[in-house]
Amino acid sequence: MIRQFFVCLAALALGLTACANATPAPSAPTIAPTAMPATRAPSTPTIAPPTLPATPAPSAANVIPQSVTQDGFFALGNPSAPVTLIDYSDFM
Amino acid sequence: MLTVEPAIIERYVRAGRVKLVFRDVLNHGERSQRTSEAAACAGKQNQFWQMHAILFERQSEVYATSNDKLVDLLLTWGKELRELDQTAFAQCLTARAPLKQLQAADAEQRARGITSQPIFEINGKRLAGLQSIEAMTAALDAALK
Repeated sequence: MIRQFFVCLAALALGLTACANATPAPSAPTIAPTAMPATRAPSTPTIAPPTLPATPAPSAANVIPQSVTQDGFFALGNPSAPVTLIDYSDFM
Repeated sequence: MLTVEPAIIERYVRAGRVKLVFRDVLNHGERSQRTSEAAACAGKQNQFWQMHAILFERQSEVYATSNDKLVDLLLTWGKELRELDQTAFAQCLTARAPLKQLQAADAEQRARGITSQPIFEINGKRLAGLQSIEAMTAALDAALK
């Protein structure tokens, strides 16, 4: 009985050392994902340019006159337009 | 205004019939203040409406950013405006140069009942809440008659 116990214990110890020896192995797959940026790198230049033209209003703002009202607020459009539309708003 | 603004700009502002004025309502604490400051800082370089468009388009990104990271985010967006002097923009933003003026305007507006957003005034006539393009068009056409 005691002998069987020691045999099991020895087998367990061997198993653990086998696992311990195996621990470096998982590090290999974790290296692989870190190598991902190399594959991601080419995509970054394609992402950067479209961000600017994606917003429609800047193009309008670039061609429509901008001004500041007498009380210091920013205005878009003909300063002497017959109608003034005030937008009280929050960027949030 | 967010959804109907492009149509209003195309139909009325670009045609020279309507002048659009933006006034900040500071209803969401630090995020409201920081985004309004960014627009005002860009405005000092005649780029207010360009920054205004970016800010409205990316509201969810501001919501997802913690207060201590807001300036960094806004500086990044400032870099997209090619005509913006980045050093001056950064100085304005970090010094919070427009904040007092924005807070004073917000207080003055609150005294007049402007406590929610959006609220519109068309030649002084007030419209509260989000407006459909039909409602806005009708109000502008009536003012233009």
